Amino acid sequence: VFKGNARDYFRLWIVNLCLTLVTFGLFSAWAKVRRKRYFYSHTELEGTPFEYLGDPIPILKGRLLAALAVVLWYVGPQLFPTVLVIPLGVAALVLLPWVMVRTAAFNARYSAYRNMTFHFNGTYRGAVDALLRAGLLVAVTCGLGYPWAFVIVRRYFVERMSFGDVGAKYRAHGGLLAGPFFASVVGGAVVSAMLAATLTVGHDIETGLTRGVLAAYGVYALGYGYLAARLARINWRHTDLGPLEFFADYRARDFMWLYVSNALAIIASLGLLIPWATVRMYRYRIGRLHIVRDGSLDVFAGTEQHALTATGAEVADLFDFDLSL
Amino acid sequence: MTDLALLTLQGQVFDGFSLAPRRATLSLEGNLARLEAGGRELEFPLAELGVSPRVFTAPRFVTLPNGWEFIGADQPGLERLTARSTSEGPVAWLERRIGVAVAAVLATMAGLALAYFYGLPRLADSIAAHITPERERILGQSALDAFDGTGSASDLDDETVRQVKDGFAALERGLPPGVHAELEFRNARAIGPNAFALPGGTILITDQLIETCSVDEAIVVLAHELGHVEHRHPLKFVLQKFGIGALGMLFGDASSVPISLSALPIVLARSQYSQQFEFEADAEGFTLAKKADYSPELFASCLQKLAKGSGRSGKGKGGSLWSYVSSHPPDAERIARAHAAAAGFVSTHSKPPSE
Repeated sequence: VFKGNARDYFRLWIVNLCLTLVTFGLFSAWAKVRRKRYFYSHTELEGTPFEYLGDPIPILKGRLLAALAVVLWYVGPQLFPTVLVIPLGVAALVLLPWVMVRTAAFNARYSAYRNMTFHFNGTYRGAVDALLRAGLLVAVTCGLGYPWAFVIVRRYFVERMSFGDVGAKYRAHGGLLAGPFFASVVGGAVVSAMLAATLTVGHDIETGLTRGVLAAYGVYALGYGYLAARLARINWRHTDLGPLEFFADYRARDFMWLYVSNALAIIASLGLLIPWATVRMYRYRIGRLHIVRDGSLDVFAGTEQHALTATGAEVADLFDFDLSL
Repeated sequence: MTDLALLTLQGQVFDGFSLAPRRATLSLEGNLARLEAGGRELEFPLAELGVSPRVFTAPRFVTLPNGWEFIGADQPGLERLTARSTSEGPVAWLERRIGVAVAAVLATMAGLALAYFYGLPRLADSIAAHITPERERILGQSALDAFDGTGSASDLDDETVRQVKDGFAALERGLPPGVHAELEFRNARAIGPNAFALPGGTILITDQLIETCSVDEAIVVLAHELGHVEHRHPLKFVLQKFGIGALGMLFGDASSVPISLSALPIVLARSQYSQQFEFEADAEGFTLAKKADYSPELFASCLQKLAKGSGRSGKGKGGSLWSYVSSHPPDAERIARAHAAAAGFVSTHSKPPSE
């Protein structure tokens, strides 16, 4: 159950934003902790809230390092095009699994429920293995194998996650995901083609382009909403943690409506409704996620805890990888 | 003293090894904390307890020295305990005040506006001043290489090339000393009639532009591109684009909408910079053209020809949505400015464009 509200979150958000701006971004590490703490401690399960334990200082270090990497990534090739492009590309490929593993580990380690933290015991080698197999599958099938590749990577990252001593299980297979994936791609393409034909005929280029861009955004938001809802539903349905089973009754049309209305509200309010939109989406996701207990909770037992650096998580944040989907 | 008064909290306690909740009572009195849970009673020195930061009305987490954690409703008396995060107290205080929220909205808008209209352009200027022309030329070279992937060598006859080069040389004489520019001709069917100023002072003109417009008109377009070079626009645009990207990262948590939506304000901000550069280059270009004895009217007529060729309505839609995201200002406005710049100018050698 999510007990937060848009009014409180708006205050938190605007203070965060303002302080971040004033400190030229340095405060963003504190802002992130504060934001996560807000959502965690207002999310309750069986009457107990979750707890976020992250520390801003390692996050700040991670962000500085990540900012350096971004500068190198964008500026390097412009100044030394021939020398740097290949080494940078290779470095990015080599670092990607590391970033993903560190992100998962950091988030897990600093997420707690009832005085027990989550734990991610994936390794760099394991992540490389999963990503290589997935990449190969996509390459060999010319992209058609994407749902199966998605499952390979997701299974690795879910099944390495544990709470107490109990590991999570992920039982979905590519066939389940293939439907939504291909439906959204094909549906998006068909609708785009139809819109392109009807909207642009008989207008000059400027009007046509304007309409086309707006229509493309609309189609994209709807397709994205449909896919996000279906994927999240399937993913939760096939994930379990010991005696806990998850069931999310997300509806595609609700996601579409939320995305479109949030986008319009944000544009109309010049961004001031971003916190309202965030809370609204989060409340929907949490409110429709049901956890079914089948057996005793005694199987969960506390484990040794290791401190982790935040760098990985921060690099992923800046490069905008959405690992949670 | 109220500080030392007895404070009793009801809540749950968790030992870190089991998820089973146990009802517990935590009492704080003087320098002692007493925990009663399941018939047992434990005592700790108050100083060894840590409390999580306040987050509006959410429950608070109290860590005990034995590794247990007590979770109970928020109470002001908890501030007596050692804060686990020292920095968040003041922030939580700020968040509770409605006045702070209003002030923060205004300050953030003012800050963003200041950064956008003043900070980023100034920063780009001063960084540009530290980038040597040699370094800048490398940047331009990579852009030229990228361009050469799509175009080929010029197919113009030598006479036309000579005329354009002469005009270009005449324009260059109007530049302040130290500004360096070079002219390159390319045949680029895929791109069509166009001219570009690259970082480092290289100006690229396509055969298609010279064919669509007249030689004299093409020279006035080059004056506009020289305006870009003189103000180092290509370099500054790259720098400012980077700055906008950094500002955009502040809003990184808009996960409630499809990711690509966040690109919209960035595109908007970027195109406004670009349009501003175009106006600056136009103005400078008119001055250079007049110095070299070419009428700004030529620029207006060339724009009209280009608009006709690309299917745009020559007048351009000043108010359309498109004009905000386009990298170039509406044609109509640029043409009007060209007319204004040409007013009263009498060329000694080139005739006004024939109708």
